[in-house]
Amino acid sequence: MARTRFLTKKNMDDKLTKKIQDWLNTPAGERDIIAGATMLLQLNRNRVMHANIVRRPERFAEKVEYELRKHLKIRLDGLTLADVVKMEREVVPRVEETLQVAPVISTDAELPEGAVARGRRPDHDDLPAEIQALWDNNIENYHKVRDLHHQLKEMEAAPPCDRYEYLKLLDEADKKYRENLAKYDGFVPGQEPAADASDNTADDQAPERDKARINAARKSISKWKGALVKAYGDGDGEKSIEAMSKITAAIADLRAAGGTLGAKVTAELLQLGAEVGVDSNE
Amino acid sequence: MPNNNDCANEALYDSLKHCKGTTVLPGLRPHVYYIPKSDIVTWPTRTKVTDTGATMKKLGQLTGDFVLAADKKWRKIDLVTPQSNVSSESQGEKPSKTFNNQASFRYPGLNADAVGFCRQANADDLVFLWPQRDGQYRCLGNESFETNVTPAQESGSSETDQAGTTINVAVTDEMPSPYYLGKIEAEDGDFSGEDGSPITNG
Repeated sequence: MARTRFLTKKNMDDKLTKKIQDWLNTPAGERDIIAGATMLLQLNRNRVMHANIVRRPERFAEKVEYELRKHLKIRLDGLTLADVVKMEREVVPRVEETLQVAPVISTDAELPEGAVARGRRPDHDDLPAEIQALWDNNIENYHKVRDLHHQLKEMEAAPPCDRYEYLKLLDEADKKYRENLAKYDGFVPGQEPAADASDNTADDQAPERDKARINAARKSISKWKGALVKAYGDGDGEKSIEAMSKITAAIADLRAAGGTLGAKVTAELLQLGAEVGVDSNE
Repeated sequence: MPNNNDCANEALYDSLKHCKGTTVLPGLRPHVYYIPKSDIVTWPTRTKVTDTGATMKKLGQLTGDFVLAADKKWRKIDLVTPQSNVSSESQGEKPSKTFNNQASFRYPGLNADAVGFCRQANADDLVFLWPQRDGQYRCLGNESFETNVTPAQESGSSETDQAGTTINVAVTDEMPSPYYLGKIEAEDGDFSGEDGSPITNG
C-alpha cells in the first residue's frame, strides 16, 4: 500500500503505544487517570488540558479515554503526529490538483449526466463494459474526494489528530480515483482489460466469505434486474421502485458477504438508473 | 535572645565528609545525552529547603523523571574524554547570586551530521545529561534559564593538529549541575541516571 511511505516505525515508541493500550484495557474504575493524563500530555503537549485533568481527574476521565483512543488509532496505523502532518503536506496538494485539473464530470445536481466531462474518451461507448464502469463509477470517488477536502478545509484549526481520520479517507479516495482514471486512460482496445473486473474472481479468492449468501444475492440482482426492465417497459412505476429497492438491498447483501459486483452487471444496472455504489475492496 | 528569623530554622547544612582511601574519578564517560527543551513535557522536581524530608544531599538532586513528548528520546553524542569537561562557578551579586555552569564537549568529527547539529544547536535551547566517571548522571540545563550552546569546528592545519567539533555549553543555574537519579529514555534503551544501569520494565 502506498501509505507505507509515511510509516516511520523507526521513530515510533512502541512502549508508549503499549502503555496506552494497557491503560485503555484496564477497567474504567481502576484506571490511573493521572497516568493517562501524562501520556496524553506526551502526545498532544497540551499543558492546559493536562492541568485541568490533574486538578479534577474524575471529571475528565472520559475525556482522557476519548483522546487516548484517538491517538492510539493513529499509532496503530504506524504513524506519529509528525507523520500525519507530513502526510497532510503531501496529500492535500495532490488532492487540490485532482480537483482543479481533472473533474470527472459536472457536479451540478441539476445536470447529473454532466455538462462537463473532461477526460472522457471519444471512444467511450465502444469500450468494454468494465472499462466504461471505471469511468462511470469514478464519479463517486470524485465526490468523496471533493467532500472530504471541504470537510478538512473546515477543520483547518483542528489539531492533526482530529483531522487524521478524514485525511486517511481522502488519501485513499484520491488514490482510487487516480488509479481508476489511469486504468481507463491506459486501456488499449483489443488488449486484455486494464482492470480485472470479472464477476467472481475476487469471491473465489476468499474462502471465508459466505458463498451461498453471495450466490443468493447475485440471483436476486439478476431476477430484479429483469423485473425492472419489464416494469420500465410496462410503465409500471410502483413495480420499478420495488425492483430498484430490491436490487439496492441485494447489492448491499452481496457486499456485506464479501462479494463484488461485476463490471458488466454494474454497467447494466447503471444504464437502468440503479444505485450501485462502490465495492469496498476495490 | 530568641531567633525570630523563620528562615534560620530551614537551613539544611550538614557535614561534608570524605572517606580516606576512596578515589574521586575525574572527567566524564565518553558520551553525553541531549534533547531540545521543547521535547520535555514535564521536568523532575528540585527539592526546596522548606520541603518535608529535605536534606542537604537532596538539594543537589533532581527528583522524578524527565517525561518526554511522545516518540522523543535522549540523543547521544560520543566524546573525546580527555578534551571534555564540565565546570561551575558562582556569578552575580547578592541576593541574586547564581552559578554559571559550563561544559566543553569534544566530538571527534567534522562530518555533515556534526555540522547539522551545530547549525541547530547554535540557535536552540537544549538540555544535556552528562555521566561522571562513576556512572552518575548530572543535568546541564533547567526550566528557568536558557541554555547557550556555542559549537565550534576546527579542521587543524599541520599533521599533528587535531580536527573536531567542540560543543561549548553555558547555562545559569541556582546550583552546580544537579544529579539526576531518574529514568533516561534514550535511543539505545532506558536506563537509570543514578548509576547508568538498564531499566527493562518500562
